[in-house]
Amino acid sequence: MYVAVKGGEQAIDNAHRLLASERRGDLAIPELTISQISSQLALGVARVMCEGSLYDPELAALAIKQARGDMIEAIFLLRAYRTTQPRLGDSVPIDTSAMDVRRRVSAVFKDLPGGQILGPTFDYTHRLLDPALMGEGSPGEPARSGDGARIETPRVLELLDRDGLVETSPRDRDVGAADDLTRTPLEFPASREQRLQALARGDEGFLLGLAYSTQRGYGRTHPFAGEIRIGEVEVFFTPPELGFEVPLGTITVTECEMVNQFHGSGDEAPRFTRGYGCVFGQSERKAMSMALVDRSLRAAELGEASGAPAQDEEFVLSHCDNVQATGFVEHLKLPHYVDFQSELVLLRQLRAEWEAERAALKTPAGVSLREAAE
Amino acid sequence: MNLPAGDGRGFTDPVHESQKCFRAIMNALAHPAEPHPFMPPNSGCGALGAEAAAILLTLADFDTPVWLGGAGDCGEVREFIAFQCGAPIVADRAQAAFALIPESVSLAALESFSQGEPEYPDRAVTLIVQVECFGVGPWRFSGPGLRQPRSFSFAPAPDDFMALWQENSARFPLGVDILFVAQGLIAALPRSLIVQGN
Amino acid sequence: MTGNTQSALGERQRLMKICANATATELQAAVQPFEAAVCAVDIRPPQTGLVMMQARTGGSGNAFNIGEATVTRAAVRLEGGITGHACMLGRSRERARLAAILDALGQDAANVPLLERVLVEPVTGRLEREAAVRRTETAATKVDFFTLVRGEDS
Repeated sequence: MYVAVKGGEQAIDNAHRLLASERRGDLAIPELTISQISSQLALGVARVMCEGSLYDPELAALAIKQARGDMIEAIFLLRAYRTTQPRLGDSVPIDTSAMDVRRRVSAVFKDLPGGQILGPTFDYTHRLLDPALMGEGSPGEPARSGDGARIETPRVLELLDRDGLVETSPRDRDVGAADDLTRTPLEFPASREQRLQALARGDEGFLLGLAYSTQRGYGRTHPFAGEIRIGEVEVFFTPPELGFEVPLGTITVTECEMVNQFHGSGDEAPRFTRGYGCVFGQSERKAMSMALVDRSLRAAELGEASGAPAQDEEFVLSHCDNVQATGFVEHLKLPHYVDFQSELVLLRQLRAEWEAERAALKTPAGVSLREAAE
Repeated sequence: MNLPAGDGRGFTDPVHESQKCFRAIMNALAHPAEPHPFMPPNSGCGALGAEAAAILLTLADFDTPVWLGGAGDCGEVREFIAFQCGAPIVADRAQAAFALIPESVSLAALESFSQGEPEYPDRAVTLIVQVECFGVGPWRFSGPGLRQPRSFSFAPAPDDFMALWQENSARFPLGVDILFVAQGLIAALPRSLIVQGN
Repeated sequence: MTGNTQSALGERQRLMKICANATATELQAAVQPFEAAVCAVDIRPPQTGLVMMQARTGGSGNAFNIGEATVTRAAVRLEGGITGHACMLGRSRERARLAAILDALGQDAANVPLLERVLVEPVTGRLEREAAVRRTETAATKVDFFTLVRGEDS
């Protein structure tokens, strides 16, 4: 337990001034603008929005600037901001099949309606540092093709679904305040909807590690990337005073559907199961990790042997939030003077007793006493 | 839909006005069974008086289902709450986080409202009860926030109010909390108070 | 709901969608020709809040929360008594208020032809041009992979 301390206001103030000056750095170098960050570091902005659990590219860019590029600090800033804002309501669930796609790939079917669309991907790059980017310059115009009509991309898993080869996603309950982790504390066992919310805002690195562990044998689920799509979807909201759906604009999301090993029982024919990931912005690694962890958390539901870390919902959900995690880890640096003093007193006492005992054993009187006792 | 016209005005400066009202409500709960001045800046509408409206404007929102009792359940009040608070109106009183009782004499069946859960006693309802006036006696309340037992009453009160409140206290830490409002006044009975006859 | 009010509602939603995707400059330009806009009274001054975005498990199953988005809403009343509402992503108070005025104007059939010219056409035109650029760039990355036959499969 840490204790309250007083004083130090001047030093704290000075530390914050120093922080502000370090953030700005060399004044001879032009200052970063928010629009530079939101347009040129867009994937960093996407991560902050996703884990900060708030879609607002401008505020996410501001958070990155203020946090000096420390992503978890930026996420923390965005989470703190959202607590100051009133909740107006829940959106109508987004329709990702109506997405205006920027990227859409499937690792299970080569030829699919709408085609495989690579979009702006790091895949197939050679991961060689590009010295040209050391300076400034234009990357040149992107190639173009087609007539500019919307590319229709039916969901890949619907192709399997048509033949009953893949489980359907049940639509049998309404999500309510009880499922919203920002409103109701998480209790175990959690619903799949609560788990998905926790994973959607969970730490990318933590989920990536867990997802990787399932591939390496800790709760193996034999995954295939059924479909990954990135693009813009329209959002609707029904304001209580209007009572009809109002289009709010569009948001960018990444969606990943994993197809996993088949499953069957006496009553059910074997079929593929699914894991799902859907996150703000272009965050493919996060969406894929989310889908893998979602599927592995369904181990008990699907009657699979469990025991691996990624299958333990209490372990995963209690530790995937990086704001909570950083708060608890970093609180160790706050004053624990009283705690430590009491430990110190106890330790000194134990050592004194230990030394006294040893001294007593060594003295002839001690020896004779011991013998007498025996 | 028809929007509230001149009547049914919400806060004009929501941040500061709701902070002031919040402070008044908190003060009433901290010094319970005692009428305190309460002059909210908004207006009421229909059966919803300005004081009760101010409590809803301050505390009710999208996350807090509101139940409307008696004359409070009318189109005018529903629209006021939908527009100004964005709070859902529920027909089932057991689901309500706030319940409006426009006439204190109809206060009854406290157990039919949400009493909270042993893990989350805070999930109980807060009743907003409009009264005509406050007085002293015939009941004496004691409990947290009161150095000495305090004499308190409101009118019009149901005949069996003392029995109602005794049952409510017996359910502690579960049970309902009540905010009473009269013109320009607010008083609170948190569930932690125990009542005795004079 | 009668077919008539259904289509009136559809028309309102169509304008709201255009406003939600319009810039502040575009909205200002659209409001400008309307004298009635000058005396619009705020019944809800622009207010920013959060709307929880939901998605569906597997794209079509039960809904779950992915995170919130900033949303700004406003409501105004015009002199004739028509009220206008706006609710849109982002934190622009100015855009929300202008959109609320346009929603009110759009409910009067007499204003529709002018709105079509000063709001619908310019904004939809820009949005379509931008979308076409994005889609042609995207379409150029469409790929046809060839599956190579492995020796043992022959």
